[in-house]
Amino acid sequence: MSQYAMVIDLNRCVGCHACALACRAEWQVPVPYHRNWVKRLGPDKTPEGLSYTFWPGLCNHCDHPVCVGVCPADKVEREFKNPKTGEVKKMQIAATYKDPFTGAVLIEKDRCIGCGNCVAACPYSARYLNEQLDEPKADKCTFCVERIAAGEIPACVKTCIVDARIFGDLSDKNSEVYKLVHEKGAKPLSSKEVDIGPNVYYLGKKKNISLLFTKCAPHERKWEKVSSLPPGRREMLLAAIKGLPSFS
Amino acid sequence: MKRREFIKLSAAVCAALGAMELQGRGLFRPAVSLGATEGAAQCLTGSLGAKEVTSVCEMCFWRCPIVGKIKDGKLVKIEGNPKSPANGPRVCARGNSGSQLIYDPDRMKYPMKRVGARGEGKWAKISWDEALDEIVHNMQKVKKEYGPNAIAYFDHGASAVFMREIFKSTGTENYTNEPAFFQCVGPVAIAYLNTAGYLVSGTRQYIDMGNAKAILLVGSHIGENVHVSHVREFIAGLNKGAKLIVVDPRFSAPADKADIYLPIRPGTDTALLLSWINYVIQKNLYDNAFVKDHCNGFEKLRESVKPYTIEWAAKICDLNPKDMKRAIELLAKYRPNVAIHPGRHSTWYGKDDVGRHHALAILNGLMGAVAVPGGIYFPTPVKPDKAKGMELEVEETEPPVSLTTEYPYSGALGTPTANIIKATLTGKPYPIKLWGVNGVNILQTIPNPYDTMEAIKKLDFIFCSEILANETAIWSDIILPDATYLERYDAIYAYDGLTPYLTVRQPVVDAMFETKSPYWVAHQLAKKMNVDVFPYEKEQDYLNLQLQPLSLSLEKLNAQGGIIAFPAKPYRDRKDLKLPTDSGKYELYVEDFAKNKLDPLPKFIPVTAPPKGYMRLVYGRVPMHTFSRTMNNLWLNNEMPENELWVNDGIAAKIGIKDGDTVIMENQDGKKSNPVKVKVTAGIRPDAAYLPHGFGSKSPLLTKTYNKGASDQFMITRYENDPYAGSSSHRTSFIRLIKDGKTLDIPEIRPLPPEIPRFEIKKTA
Amino acid sequence: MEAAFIFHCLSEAFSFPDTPPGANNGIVALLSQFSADANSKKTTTNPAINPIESINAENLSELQAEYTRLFINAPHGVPAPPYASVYLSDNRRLMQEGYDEAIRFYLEAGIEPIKGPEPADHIFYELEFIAMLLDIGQSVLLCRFLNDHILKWYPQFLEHILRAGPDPYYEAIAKITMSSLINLEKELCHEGESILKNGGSL
Repeated sequence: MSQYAMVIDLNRCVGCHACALACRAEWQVPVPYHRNWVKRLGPDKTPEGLSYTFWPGLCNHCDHPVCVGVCPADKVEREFKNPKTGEVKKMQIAATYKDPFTGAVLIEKDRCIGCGNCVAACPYSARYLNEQLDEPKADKCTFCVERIAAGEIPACVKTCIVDARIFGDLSDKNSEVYKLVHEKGAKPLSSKEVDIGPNVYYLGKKKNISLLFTKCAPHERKWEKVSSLPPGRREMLLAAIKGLPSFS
Repeated sequence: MKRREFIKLSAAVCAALGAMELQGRGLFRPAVSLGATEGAAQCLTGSLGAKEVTSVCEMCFWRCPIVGKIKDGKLVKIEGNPKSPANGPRVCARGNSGSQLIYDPDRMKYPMKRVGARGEGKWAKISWDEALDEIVHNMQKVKKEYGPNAIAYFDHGASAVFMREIFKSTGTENYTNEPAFFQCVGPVAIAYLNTAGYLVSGTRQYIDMGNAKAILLVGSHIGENVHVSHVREFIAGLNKGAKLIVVDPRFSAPADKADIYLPIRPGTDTALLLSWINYVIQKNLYDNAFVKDHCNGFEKLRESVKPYTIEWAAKICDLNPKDMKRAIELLAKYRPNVAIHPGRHSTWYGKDDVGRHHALAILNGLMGAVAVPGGIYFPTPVKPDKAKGMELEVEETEPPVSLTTEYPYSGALGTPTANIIKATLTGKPYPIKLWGVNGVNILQTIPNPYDTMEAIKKLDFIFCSEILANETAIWSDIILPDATYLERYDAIYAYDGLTPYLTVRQPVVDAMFETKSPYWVAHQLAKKMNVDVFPYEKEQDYLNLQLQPLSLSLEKLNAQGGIIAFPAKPYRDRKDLKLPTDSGKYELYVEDFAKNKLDPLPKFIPVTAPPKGYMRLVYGRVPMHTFSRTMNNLWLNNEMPENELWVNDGIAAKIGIKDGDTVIMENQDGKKSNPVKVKVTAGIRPDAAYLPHGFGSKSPLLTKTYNKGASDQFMITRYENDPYAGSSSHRTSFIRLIKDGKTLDIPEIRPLPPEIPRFEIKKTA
Repeated sequence: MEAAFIFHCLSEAFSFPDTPPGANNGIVALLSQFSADANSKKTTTNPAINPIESINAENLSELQAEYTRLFINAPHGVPAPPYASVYLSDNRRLMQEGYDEAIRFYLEAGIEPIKGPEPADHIFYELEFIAMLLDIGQSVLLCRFLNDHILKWYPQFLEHILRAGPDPYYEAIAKITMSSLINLEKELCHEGESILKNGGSL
């Protein structure tokens, strides 16, 4: 199975924010939401010296996407096709799911009920609920699978002014992302408390990785709060949704 | 996106309406085509399937080649032109946000005439004819009453070049006074023009960081200051293993990437450079062959720098002498393949500015880093022809009283802005009564905006050409709405750096409202004033003429992707090396400076330190904004709506300020700032505070940015003029903080050596 | 007054006043009717309102400044941007979804806007479009245009105008437009096509 992944090289990154804006332009993401962001970190003291670095962030398309587990939408059967081999696979999915062939975590917008569970569950705050729509919907980074299907590369990768973002298939041992992860030690942004298998990896000097992890690694298992909601809330939500004329 | 099913119905509806004569005040006509975009493209998401038009960015002055992506007649995205050898498909944060400039409801839409008081921003829409007639009338009236020199033009960038000819035609000596020169590149330009013989740093910096084995940055914060190909070369160099030395009072983004970081006391850079020059001469760490064969004035230099030892400079600069030696030895080790960045914005302290960049140029010469990989290199000219009649030939006669006489190096680049403002304020040496302002927000650019506003009040007439109603525009009597760079033709852009190319700016979408291209405006004014310039009706006419000698036309250029690349010739063999100076040599000692009674060799001129209780205000760029002009851009504003004042953690602890606290700055003249949040950090020296530039807009017409953050410019009320060109210094103002109504004096953590005098605040009764 | 003519006049009233609106008989008639209605009902919140005064030639420059303030450029932003896109799209931008929506209706009617200085979702385009649909009797499409487009944003636009303390002339025009849109929607979309069939007045 393929798993799309991204490596971000902080040695190259200058924190210019082009990635965040190219994503906004490509997907017309309304302000103030974002699918792709740059958080400026420092200058702060670290054990390895003064550090001024960045968190260029996006959805991690995790191996264990906790956002998918909390989606209360009714499951339907969908057929997925391997873009490389043409192999077909059927799966029961809620409104958000992890594509079995690309590993991208995606949303079927027409079936999203706008409950915000997935938004609350993500420990990286990578999702947003677009409340500017008549019917609010969750939204997020797609790894630009739509563009990849058309032979393009992700918008953030394409615009990166210093080529700090490397995109590829982590299951392919010849890919650059594979080498950077398995040979150069690129690290996903995880912690002891929260390790759900992120597929965005960071390379950088010790002091920068240290500051990034101190400031930005998630520690709160946010999805547990969502799934431990009082019994009945899920049913209430579903009932409420079913009552809406647009879903009849 | 909303649903589109009903488009399917429209064929039937259309047939029913077919023969009907449609009226409607000339607002509508029968549809020529039913769908604006073809079905296939409509189904593709994002920017996929969009129509593409190549052009040139102007979100900053670097002007990257771009491609606009258009769907349904609207610009949906901007990418770099994939055929550009400089940036390829890449654009920076600002380049990516250009569409938000076009579709900003705050933009100037029609010519406007002021109906309220100056500075109030109240207008009524008028026609182009009325607006231009008013300008012509006032120019003629002022010229008649006060003489031609009473007319002055503040100009910047691609929008301003054409109208400059109109001002030239009035006979004023003040037809250009580019804030970009007198507030920015002046000193570095003068220093390198007189040593290397060419403009090593003006708009561009011809410095080969991508092939350097060591890079030295003195105050340059590349990465926070983003110009795509420049940053790419910097990072390429580092990625290939170049060592990096950064000298900066602030721990900047490149400082993080440095092998050696020197947190220098502000105002003492020249002392550091002089000690390094002395050190490499004393230790014979310089390129002897280059100095012998290609430099003039080495002996005089050797003598003049003798007093400047590392130990002496260490005290002046508040640096560790071991680090200073380590840095210069590292640089010298890799000579001549070292990139000593010349800098760009260099109007820092006034008297010392040209000398500082002269010292950088000398160090560069001693390293032999000239026309070799890694060093300063020669531009590769890719010049399209000039079309006839686009520039006025006027006989330059110095008027009996001139605003440029005291500054020998200002003339070619216009009148010092400080002198224009002083003359306007005082009427001396002659009165100035009319200003034209084009493409520059002078109140957020020129030191002491309070003086500038007072000067504006004394004018008979002021007009500006702008895209958005910034601080300067609201003071204007007439505003001309400028089409954005995405809506117009203006010029052919030839890049003469390491990846030479030729491309053209052309409209990506139709101009919105009644905005007009700068050429159209100048062309109309020329007609109204009977000035014999700009004979072409349309921009395409002169652009095609310019392209002709290259066997090109707009059509042919567009057929090739809108851009043509050329090979670069940046390096020279030593035996063939001839510098473009009069002597053909690299002038360490500048004879011409001596002739003008200026220092032919740089020397240590102490820069006054902050008064007791104050720290120096320094400022810089952020990558998501271009000065004040992108602050109202929806997307960029969202990325960084306001700035933070960087305060040293030790100082903050002593005066009881925490990260995120809100303070007000008060400067040495008692001017107070907007409230601003404090960023407490170890990444700034205790004797300086750092504020990103361009924030704190004073124009209520910029709804997204009005009063957001604090303006560094409105704190810079004290300035000195460099004696070479009269540029105005920007790092010569000092601040203390006010929190919760209480004034907080800044303690002195790093003691001052006796060689540096302290600025004294004059007590007024 | 014939319905189509009313909307035609309103479209003109929302255009920049290059000439005094007092010279436009249609606008004068609309204003007189409005004043008479207001007086007869005696419910008007602003008894001082006298739109007729504002539209004389001697007040033209003030009216132009007021139009500029309300709709073009003003300190703290234009109080009432006259574009559908600003109200129907995210982030109050020009030329976004609200604009696309207007264009789709025009195309459906087989017409397209002639490029002028203003984007074609300007209120004067949309009011003229209504006049044209009335003229040619396209009631089904008109009904959808009312309910699925202009009535989604016009009430907000009106509110913005009224909050800005407008000149009585623009207050009147804005209110007349609101009531005309509502009346038209009532007549047209709930009670058959009587006015169109009879060419009656609203």
